[in-house]
Amino acid sequence: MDESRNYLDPNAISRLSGMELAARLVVEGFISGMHKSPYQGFSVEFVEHRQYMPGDEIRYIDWKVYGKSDRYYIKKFEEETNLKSYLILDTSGSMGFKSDKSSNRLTKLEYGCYLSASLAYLMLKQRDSVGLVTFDNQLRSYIPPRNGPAHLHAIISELENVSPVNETNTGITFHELAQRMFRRGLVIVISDLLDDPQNVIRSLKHFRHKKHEVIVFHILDPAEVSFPFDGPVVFRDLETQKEMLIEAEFLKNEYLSKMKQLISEYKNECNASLIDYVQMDTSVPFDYALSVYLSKRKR
Amino acid sequence: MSFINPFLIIGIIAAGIPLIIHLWSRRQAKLLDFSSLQFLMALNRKKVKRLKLKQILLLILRMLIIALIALALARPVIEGKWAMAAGSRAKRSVVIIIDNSYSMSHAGLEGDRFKIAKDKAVQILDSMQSGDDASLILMSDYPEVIFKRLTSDIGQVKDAVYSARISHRGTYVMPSLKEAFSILNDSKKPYRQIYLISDLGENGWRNWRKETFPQEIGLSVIRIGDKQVNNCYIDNIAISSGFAGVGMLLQFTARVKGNSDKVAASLIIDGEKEEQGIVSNNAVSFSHVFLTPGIHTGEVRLSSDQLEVDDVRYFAISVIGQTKVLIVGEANFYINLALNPSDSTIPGSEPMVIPSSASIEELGSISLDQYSAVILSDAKKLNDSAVRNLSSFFSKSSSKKPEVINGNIIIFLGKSSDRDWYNASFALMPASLASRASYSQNPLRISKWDSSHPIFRIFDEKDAADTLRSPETYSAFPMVPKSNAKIVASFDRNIPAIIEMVSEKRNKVILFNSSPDPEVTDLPLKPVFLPLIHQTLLYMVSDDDNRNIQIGDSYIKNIYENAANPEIILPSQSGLAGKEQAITIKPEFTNLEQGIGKQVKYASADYAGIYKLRYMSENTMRQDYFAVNLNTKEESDLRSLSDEEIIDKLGSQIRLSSSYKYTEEAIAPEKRKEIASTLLVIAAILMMLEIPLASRYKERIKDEG
Repeated sequence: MDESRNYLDPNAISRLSGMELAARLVVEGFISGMHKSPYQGFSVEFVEHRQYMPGDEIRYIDWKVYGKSDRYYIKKFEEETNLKSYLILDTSGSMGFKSDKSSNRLTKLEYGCYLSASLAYLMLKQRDSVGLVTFDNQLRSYIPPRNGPAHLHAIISELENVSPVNETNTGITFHELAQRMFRRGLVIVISDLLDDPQNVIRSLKHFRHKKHEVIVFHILDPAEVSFPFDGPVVFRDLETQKEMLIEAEFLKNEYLSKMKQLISEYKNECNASLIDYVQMDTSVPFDYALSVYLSKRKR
Repeated sequence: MSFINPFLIIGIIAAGIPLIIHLWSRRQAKLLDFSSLQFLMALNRKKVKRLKLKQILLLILRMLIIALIALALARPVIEGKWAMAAGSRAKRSVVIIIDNSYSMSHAGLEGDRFKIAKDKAVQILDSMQSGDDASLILMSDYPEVIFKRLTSDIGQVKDAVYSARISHRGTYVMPSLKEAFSILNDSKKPYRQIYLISDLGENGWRNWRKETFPQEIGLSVIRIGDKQVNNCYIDNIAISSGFAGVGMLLQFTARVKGNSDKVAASLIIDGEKEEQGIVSNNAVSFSHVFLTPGIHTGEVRLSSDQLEVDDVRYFAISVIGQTKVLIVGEANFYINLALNPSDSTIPGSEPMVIPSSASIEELGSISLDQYSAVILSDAKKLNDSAVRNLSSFFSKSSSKKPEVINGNIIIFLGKSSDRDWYNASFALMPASLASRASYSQNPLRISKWDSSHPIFRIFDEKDAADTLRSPETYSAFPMVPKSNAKIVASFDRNIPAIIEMVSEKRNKVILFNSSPDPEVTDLPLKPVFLPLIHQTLLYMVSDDDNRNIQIGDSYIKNIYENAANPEIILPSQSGLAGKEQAITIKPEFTNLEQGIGKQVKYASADYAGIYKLRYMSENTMRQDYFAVNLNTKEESDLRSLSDEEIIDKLGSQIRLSSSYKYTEEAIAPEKRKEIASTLLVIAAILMMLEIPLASRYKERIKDEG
């Protein structure tokens, strides 16, 4: 395997210090593995001419017009952004979970952050504008979609500062967000979706109603999927700090079937609403997520 | 509820062990942060709830099992209606206190109190079942504990009740109650009860100090007899003059208490009824003359009332026989006259005192053995042989007849007495003399005397005391008593009037600081002279033994010779004496601390009556008597405490059968039930519940897993 592919492994990424570096490595590694450039669809849209003024950059002088009219005109462009993308990252307490504290495994939030950073990097690289929204039981931060390398920096510095607190309230938050987003675009939800599924689906449908494309990355920890506990365990809720002592094996079957049911409910409902639902756990390499995005982008 | 092993109740702490294990295992459980418990809980709230409920149920069950076992070990006992509901009776320990003070021998309309008390005790014992135990205390002024430990042989206790006898003692309740509580303290039976069966006479509760007795021991008080009963009894007998001599007219006065007017009384001397009288003003008097010397016994007896035992009072009296007195010296006219007043003899009897005279010169050669006393009446001085003769007379022990005492000397000092000779050469002199002084201008009078001294016993009353003060003395020797002598009477100005010296063998020297000479003193002309001389002589020649004691006192007799094998024969009234053979008891017998002789001591005279002392001396059998009387001061007063007073003294938790009639409630055992076995059964049932519940709980967890 190409060495750069290593960076797509979340365990390897977790050893890196800077998120920007990590995102770059993820994306570059991802791209270098492809046969042709994935960048496409971007263009610069001509808006008008205006007379050259001293101080204007020479490279923007329209020489064709000068050839015809012998006057210096400057071409004014509006760089077209193909797509406005919104990265919506869940920073609620439950996202702070990781099953094996001793290992290098990422928490769901860390995984979500790296994923967001990588997606943002990739989007900005192909001149899409990208915004970042973090939420728990309400909107925490809102960085409107823009493009340009400086914007990546803004997003990444925001991502570096998030921490998992509070409970989740997906419904209200998404509805509020949907109201704010006027131009249609791509909405990428990164969350463990540990909330009332009906509420979540209803709010996702709201995005769809506003004509947004929606991708849901359902991030779960492997332990949440397999429930590998046994014996008496005191579970402490990361959001409410409530404790519950139970015999873990007693609940295992019930839990697993409920979890399966939850995932299939999300999957079915999302399919029905033409929402891309991607269930992944924190051990899944990032390129999987990136390729999901790109395939969506192609459509 | 009460506990038989209350200290074991601490074991109930062990009930916390399952809780501690539960909490500990909780702590041992891995703490795991989990994404969303709400989500987990929502999975199966009902199931978790059910599981938790089971867990708590198991925990409670286990705690309950341990608590029940700990409680059972402490052996709880329930009382009252709960116990009644429980039905069967708990094992009992019972101490029965029967009052056997002599007031319980009262036999009124209701019957003999002591017999009723015994019947009630038997009733209580009859109500006992196998496994119960009992003890018996006979209560008088001390507790006679018949069974020091509780015995399960109820038949034996019943026999002890049947053979219990009335005592002649008073009552003192507290020691018996304390004894009963201490016996029951050792018992582990759930039901412990004291039954106090008594007439509840006031005197038994004197100086009552409230005690806190253990609450778990019940106290039932069963009153026997009526609350107000009149009783008539003889409180004491006084004998005129205090000394008795052959031919002397003696007066016996019995003081009677209670409603006693017109009650018949009789005087019995040496077993013969001598005189009869009627009590008036709470007293009855009899006169009697003893014709023979020696120890006489007697009693004054009232016609019996419902309490017979205190209707009689006994006495023993030593009657002095014919006494010879030798008078030596100048002024002997008045002494002779005083010692032998011709009209004092009773016809048919010889005079009690026979005085004879001798000169100072003759004293050295006269045999003094026959004389009880020698009187030196203003003797100037004695020659050596007289002094030797007197010294040997004084140092001899009592004569072979115990009722005749000799070796006594009376000294009168007058104007002829040679002070220097008495000071220097007469060792029997009880004082050192100063120069004779004249008090003719301001005569001396007797101002102080030892009123407890037998000589002055008859001068107790004011008139008699005035006669003792009346004689005037015109000249006397200021003197200082020797170390072994004491002043028994003094003149004013602190000049001794009479000095006494007693030898180890009880021989006495009495010194009068005057002589029966009208020029020295007008004493011989005064009426007090005759009784004073008589009392002095009687005192000197009678023994000092106290022959009249009360129950509880010790009888002590000093025998100033070699004596052996003393025995005391109990009176037949004691109830111990058999019909044919008198019961004899060996008293304490020790050497006298000073001089030759023995002491007999008998401290257990428990019954009123005449006791006889017998011992061997000089190969002959000697005998003496003493009278033991009831201590009637309190016990014969039959007033008893009211119910309120009893409750005030013993606390309201007692059960009191206040009426004479037998009350079932007071005797019936309280309903109490020990529930240790019930608790163990409940614990076992819970254990049987716990085992399947616990295994099902585990299986369930496994299955679910």
